[in-house]
Amino acid sequence: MIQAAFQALLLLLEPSNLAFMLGGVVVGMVVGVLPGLGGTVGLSLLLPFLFGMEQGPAIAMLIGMAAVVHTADTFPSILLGAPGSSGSQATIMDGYPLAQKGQAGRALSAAFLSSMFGGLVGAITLLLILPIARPLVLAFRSPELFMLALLGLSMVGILSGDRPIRGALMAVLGLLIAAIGAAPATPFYRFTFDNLYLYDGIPLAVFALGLFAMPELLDLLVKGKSIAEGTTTRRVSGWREGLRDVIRERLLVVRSAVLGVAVGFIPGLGGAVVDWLSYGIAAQTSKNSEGFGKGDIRGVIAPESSNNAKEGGALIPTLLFGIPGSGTTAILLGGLVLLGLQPGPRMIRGDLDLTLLIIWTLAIANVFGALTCLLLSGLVARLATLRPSVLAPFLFVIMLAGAFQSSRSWGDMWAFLVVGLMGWVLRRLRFPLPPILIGFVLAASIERNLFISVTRYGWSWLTAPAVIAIGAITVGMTILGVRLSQKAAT
Amino acid sequence: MRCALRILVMLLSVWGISGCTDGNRQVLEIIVPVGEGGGSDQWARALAPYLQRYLDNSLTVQVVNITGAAGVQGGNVFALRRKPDGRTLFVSSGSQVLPWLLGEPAVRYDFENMRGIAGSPVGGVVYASADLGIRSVEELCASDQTLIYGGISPTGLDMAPLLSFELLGVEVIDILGYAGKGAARVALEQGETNLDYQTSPAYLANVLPLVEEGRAVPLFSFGLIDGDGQVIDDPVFPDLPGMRKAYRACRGHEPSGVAWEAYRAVLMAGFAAQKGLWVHANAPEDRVQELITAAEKATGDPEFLERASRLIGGYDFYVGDNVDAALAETARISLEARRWLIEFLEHGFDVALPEPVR
Repeated sequence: MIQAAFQALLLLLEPSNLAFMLGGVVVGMVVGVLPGLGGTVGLSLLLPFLFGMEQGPAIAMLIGMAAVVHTADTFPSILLGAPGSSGSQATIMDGYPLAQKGQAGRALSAAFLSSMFGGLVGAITLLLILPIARPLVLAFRSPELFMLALLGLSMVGILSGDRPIRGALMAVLGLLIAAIGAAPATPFYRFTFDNLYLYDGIPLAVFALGLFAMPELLDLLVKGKSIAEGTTTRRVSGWREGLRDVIRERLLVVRSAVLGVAVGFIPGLGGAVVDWLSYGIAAQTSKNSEGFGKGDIRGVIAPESSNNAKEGGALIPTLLFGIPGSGTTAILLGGLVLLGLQPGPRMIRGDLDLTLLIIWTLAIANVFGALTCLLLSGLVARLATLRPSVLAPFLFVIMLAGAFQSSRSWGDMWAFLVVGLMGWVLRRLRFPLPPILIGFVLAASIERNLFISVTRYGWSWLTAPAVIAIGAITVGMTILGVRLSQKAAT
Repeated sequence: MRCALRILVMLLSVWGISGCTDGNRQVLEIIVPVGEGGGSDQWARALAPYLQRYLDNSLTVQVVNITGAAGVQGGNVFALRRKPDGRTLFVSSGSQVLPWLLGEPAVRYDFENMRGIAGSPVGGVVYASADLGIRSVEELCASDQTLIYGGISPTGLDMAPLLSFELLGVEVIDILGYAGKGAARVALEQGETNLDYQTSPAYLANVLPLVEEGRAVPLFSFGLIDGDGQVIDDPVFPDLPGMRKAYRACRGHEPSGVAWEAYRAVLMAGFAAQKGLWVHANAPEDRVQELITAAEKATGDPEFLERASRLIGGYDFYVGDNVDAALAETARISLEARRWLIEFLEHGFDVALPEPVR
């Protein structure tokens, strides 16, 4: 195994492979930075080039792209309060307040460094866990998956501030909006009103972008002040501070990375929720957590470490079972098949060299991506000092275009505008927005697994030990979360 | 500051260019109704460069993904919004043919108004968990154990196994709602279910290792349909009984009747004509012939066949009229068989479908 790993590294370091990996990294950074675009769009850009390519360089390019999206997507999350991709939503919670305080440089560098370490931990875990991963993945049956989705939903408690009832209401609203379109477990269409766009439901990228970016943009215009209101952004000092933050919080970095891998490798839980889980757990288990949501650097470190580590975890079910663990790996799967690879048990026995190549690419691309972002951060951080009347129209166009990439139909634009206005009104009425997104993301998983659990096991699944254990954690988390946020509010 | 803006503009233009289509050259558009990386997308993108190779040079072949409405939208766009000038093609799979067969209201396209250019079949194998102790389809039919089948949706490709259990008289508990065939296979490995089917490529990659370890047992294949519309054994699995043999083994006589007709229609729609490349039926004849000739050469190109072999798993491509023939049985399904099928779905699975008219 060690010798094989070494050979795979040599294979990656061949100039042609390395060049293709860097090409992939560039594409990944671009789609990561642009709000609304993420790994799925990046892969769709690369797929047309794939056919006829050698396996080695093609894999280096694909994985290089996928590895850095969640590094670069931090820019808009922190600087603009708009998610760069669906993986960096939770970073907004504390990253954006930091930018408003003029500490964008610090937040960015802390984010990139934790992204890098998270990605490395993800790659290493993937390497270590690969030989024993099959039984681990098989341990999660439908009832356990349902309970894990509920656990994700319990994060709503910590994200609702001092108004847990409002948070719960918003989560229900998210679940309801997710019900639009084809039902996950039965052949029915709901709330489609004979509109063909609604048959597939509202795409996650459109929903997340509309929910977070539009209200922010409108508020910015209403206030008429730049994001970092009058404070001066310090380029260099921010850098060092960020590094110090990461070193001080190294335990949090590792812990969040492990969480990211774990959530990633559980198939069907929806990788899009990992950053919220990580954020919520960090807020609940840290000392002096009153500052969370107002610009605590730990609220940036935790989700950033997790969302890069997740890609390593999500590759486990993708490579071993052919079932994707996140939106990005779903398209990656198509790319691998196009290259003549059929993910399955043979990825360890027959195609081990390619599997190891994937792991190495994941690790090295993460380092490259983080370093490049660090270099660019001082420059890009100055965006936060721009007047909104200059910035907003430009951003608005980018975001509309980003939303349009989801299914390339006019419905995307309408959905973006409607969701955005809804988000703005709700925020004006002081309803917390993150719970809506959590409900929206988890809805399909909750419904599908509950449906299967009940049709397969009746009610007997409720007494399975793992179900009871996860249930107890969920109840504990909910109570703790509500208490904590009430304490923070007083 | 200016520099930062300039970088942003640069990034934006890179992305903008990638989304643009070239308006000056003549484009042969291939509409794929699923997203990038999906099964039909892989099939189309594998074929496209070889079509390009054997077509007139003034044409640029371009694959365009038009998603939406669970794979129906792309077909609607092809039928309603594209001119029948032979410059737009449409890629179909079971996800487009089955809703058409069932008369789902969202479907506005009609395969009767299309002509086949190229197509390829795929097979499917039903297998059981080794825990059941069943070793053949005869033992399956005689079994009194609790059989649990895991699938995605009764109106998708799962119709084929569900109909086959009905025809064989096997009592099965259906657990539908899994996120995909991969998830359904994992459920079988977990013991959540004990019966499953996979298409041939997925079977060879993911189930065969389980069979070799003694954890799964193949039972029968759905079979393919020959030129006379008869169900024959799957050539990729010569040792497994096809559905016709399985029926004889369980029932002791040849299959016939409306249920069998419905099975054949579904088998054609979902498997025998699994992938198809179509043009409008009223497109100019010389353009259609040119396309068929190019498809013939492309699917005979040894380089293409080598590259596509893993994708389609050992079956032969067909071109021109043979594509239409592969779907003919589905198109010709009698009103009684269609009624029977819809009633089977409504009673067994609570599916609401419109009353068939033709």
